[in-house]
Amino acid sequence: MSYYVELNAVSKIFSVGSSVIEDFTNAMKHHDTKEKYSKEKVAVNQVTLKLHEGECLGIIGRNGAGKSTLLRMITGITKPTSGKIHVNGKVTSILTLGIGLREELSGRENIYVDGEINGKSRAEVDKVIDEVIAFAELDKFIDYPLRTYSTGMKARLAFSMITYIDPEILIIDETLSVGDALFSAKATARILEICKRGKIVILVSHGMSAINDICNRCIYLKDGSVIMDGRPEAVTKAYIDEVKSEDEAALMVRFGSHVGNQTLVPGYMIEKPVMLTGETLLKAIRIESAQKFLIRIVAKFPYETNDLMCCVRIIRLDELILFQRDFNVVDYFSSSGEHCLELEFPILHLRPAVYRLDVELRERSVVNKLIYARSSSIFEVYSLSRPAGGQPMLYYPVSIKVNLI
Amino acid sequence: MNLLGFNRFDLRLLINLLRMNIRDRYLGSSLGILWAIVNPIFMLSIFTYIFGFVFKIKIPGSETTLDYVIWLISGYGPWLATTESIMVGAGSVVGATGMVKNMAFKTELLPIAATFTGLINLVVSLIFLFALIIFSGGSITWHIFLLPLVIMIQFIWLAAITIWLSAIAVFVRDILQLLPNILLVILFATPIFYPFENMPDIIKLISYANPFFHIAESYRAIIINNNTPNLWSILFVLVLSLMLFIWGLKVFRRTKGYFDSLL
Repeated sequence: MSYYVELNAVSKIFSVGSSVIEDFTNAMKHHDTKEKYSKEKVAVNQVTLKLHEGECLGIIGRNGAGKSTLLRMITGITKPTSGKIHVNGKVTSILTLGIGLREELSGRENIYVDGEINGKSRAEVDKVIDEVIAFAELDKFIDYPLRTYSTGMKARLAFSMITYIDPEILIIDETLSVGDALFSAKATARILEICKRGKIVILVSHGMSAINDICNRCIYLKDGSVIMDGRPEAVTKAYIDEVKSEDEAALMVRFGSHVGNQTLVPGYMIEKPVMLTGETLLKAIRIESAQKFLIRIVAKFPYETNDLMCCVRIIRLDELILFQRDFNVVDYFSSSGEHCLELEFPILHLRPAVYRLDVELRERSVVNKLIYARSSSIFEVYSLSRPAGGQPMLYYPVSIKVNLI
Repeated sequence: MNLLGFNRFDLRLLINLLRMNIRDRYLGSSLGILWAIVNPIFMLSIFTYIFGFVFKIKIPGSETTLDYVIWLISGYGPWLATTESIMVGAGSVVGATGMVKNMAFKTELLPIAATFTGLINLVVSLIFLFALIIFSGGSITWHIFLLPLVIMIQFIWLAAITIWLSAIAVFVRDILQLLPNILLVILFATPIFYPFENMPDIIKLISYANPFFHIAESYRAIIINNNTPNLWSILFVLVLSLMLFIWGLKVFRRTKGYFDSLL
């Protein structure tokens, strides 16, 4: 017998907010006569997939991409709304750890309960129980009731109980690394070993290294559809890149919402700052890294405010303040009216990325810092000479000297 | 070996589930499983005391007052098992959310396993009953060897009901609240506490279609009348149960793919 898993245009549609009666009548009906739900959410959309013996499939995707639903359908827990699934072989699934844990029973008895849930006879559990107990590292606690355990101990016990399964088709759903760092490493190693025993393995994980280590094939699921299928290294890389750019785009929207000039107290005003770059100080919104950088700010304020502060900040996409400089306006100006202020950076150390420049005119007092006016603008830093591989945070000048010892 | 889509592995899982059911029921109480025996005995003892020594009801043609108690328990003992099976069985899928949502196994085993928890009540009741018969000087004949047949039919009938109820309960939880009341109505609509002859004509008529009645009568035929149960009664319940069971199994298997999103 050859093992295989075959999915043919499999879709799963969940009803959202439909009545129980509607659910029930729909459930009773045959596939093809099914009515459409009034409101629905497509969790898995037309997935076609064929797995052969020896394949170890990793499934990656963001939260809500339909990974778990897909696993549940292959396991047989959930039925697809449309499409066909053929599985040849006995499916063992580990979707959650410690399903059958009984608080009142001791660790040892719980191992027997787990065996019962998995359809094992007592004799079969007897054969592996010493190994399980040794793996859980619970020592004398193994004979204490579970309610006396810490969360970590429970997790360790729960994990240990899966280690003796003998899978044909194995389905594992993420977050299987439990306990402290040491145990976690041991657990990961054991998962690898179990996966090797399985004829077909399907693994969902958010850990890209786990996918790369264990799997020999990987699919990237997005909004219920397979958008990439191939070698794990290639797929995980594409996934990480896309997630990053999506995250940045979302941040940019929030980031950009600050942009603009604002006058909060009449008489005060900051114009949009002008940025100049390079030896020749050209106006630009794209600034080259590791070059001279100059910020020119034009501000207007009445002179009589002698506790006026000017505050200049450079902020990264994730709202981290990278640079801040506050100074007393009276130290630099002696009359009211429009002023031009220049901040010069001999060398801009920031790495290539998008930044925001915030300028504020505000009260100097410590208690309630009344803001008179502010201005925000976005600028981008680029570099012509990126270091190979990594992306350092700062382009800091260092002198390198090599001495022969 | 494959029967109705179940194989040998499923049979073992069924036995495991039954064992877990019984153990979980009394988990944490210091007397543990002993309660499964103590509870029905307590109940039946109260009935014996009230109807045997306080109200001294006599059924026509009997000499001792214990006769009514024996007659009552021969119908009410199996009913205790029925209540237990249906109540535990109906909530079996809803109560095993963790397993249903996370494990690959035949969920239809849950109500079937739960049905058999009633067996304990039945066995305890029957032992209590036979002790009472011997105490009151009654006779026990070879007919009791027909009891396993009646018990088997009763449990096929119960399994058929629970497989339906357990699936419906996932969609309509209210059924679990409603069930004790329905069971109480069935108890009094079925000639268990009163002889069949005392029932109103309409109930008499309905009783012929009531499997609970036929089951109670079969027990009484064997235990009280030392006779063979009515063949037609037995056949009626058996055929009805099998049909309902196989149909229920089909419906259950069709609907179980939706449990996941409702539990």
